[in-house]
Amino acid sequence: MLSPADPTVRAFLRHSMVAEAATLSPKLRPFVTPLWFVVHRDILYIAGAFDTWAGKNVAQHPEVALLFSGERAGRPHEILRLRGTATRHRGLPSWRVLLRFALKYYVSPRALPVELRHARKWRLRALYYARLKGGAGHIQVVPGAGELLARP
Amino acid sequence: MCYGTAVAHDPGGGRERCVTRDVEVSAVRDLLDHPPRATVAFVEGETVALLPARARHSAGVYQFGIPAGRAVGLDTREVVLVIDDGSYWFELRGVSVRGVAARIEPPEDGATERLEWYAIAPRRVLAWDYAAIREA
Repeated sequence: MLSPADPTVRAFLRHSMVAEAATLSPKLRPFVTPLWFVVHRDILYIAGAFDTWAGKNVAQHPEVALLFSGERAGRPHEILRLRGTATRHRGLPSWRVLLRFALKYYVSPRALPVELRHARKWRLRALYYARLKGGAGHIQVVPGAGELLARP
Repeated sequence: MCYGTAVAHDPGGGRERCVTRDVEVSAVRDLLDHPPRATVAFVEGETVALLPARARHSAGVYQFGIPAGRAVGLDTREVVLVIDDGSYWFELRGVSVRGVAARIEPPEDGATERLEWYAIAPRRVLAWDYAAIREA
């Protein structure tokens, strides 16, 4: 097992774009969805709406499991699985966290061309977020033990 | 990401309008033919567990392989398989299959690898493509 402070864990988090996040529903059914995340002060932040399935699930069952493929790390044969404890929060995270999201997903050298190619759809995206149930919200995950798995 | 369909009522006419990135599975067919990322979630004990998987899809049948010995047998258990791709907003695409797993023989081209293979009897299949976002 790897501690959250292990350099390997930090490297995977730094070089992963998407976390596959598994949660448990109130009826004890599995749920998994790919989610954006950033790390700030050793906490993983997942931003979005308050009433997502993942948000509702962690409100009832805080234990989560996450997979990180470290796609930017050049380790194609390994995947990091991390356990964590999640909490759901109403509203947006701090501006520092939002800035990390913006830098990672919207204005990075790789992100910007994608954004500009789809500029005509920005209005729809804004509408999409404005109409999500429950308003803005985010999930914070305190990472726990990690484990490297072979990619099948 | 991945919140499905956002719905609002038009105050003028009461008509329900929505903005969605949901698509038919056929619209992300290439993901199923060559799954870039595949993950399977299930319940183990009283907690949720997940494993990276190798996914296959043929003629409407969803199959996945997981490393042998990494999980308590998933036969007859509820699983969720997610096949997805993309890093940035307008690149995000995927398919989610919820159903009951049934152990199967390894496919011919996967028989030499130490994977346990399962087929899913789907109860619900969802597909999304953020670049296809639209009002519906």
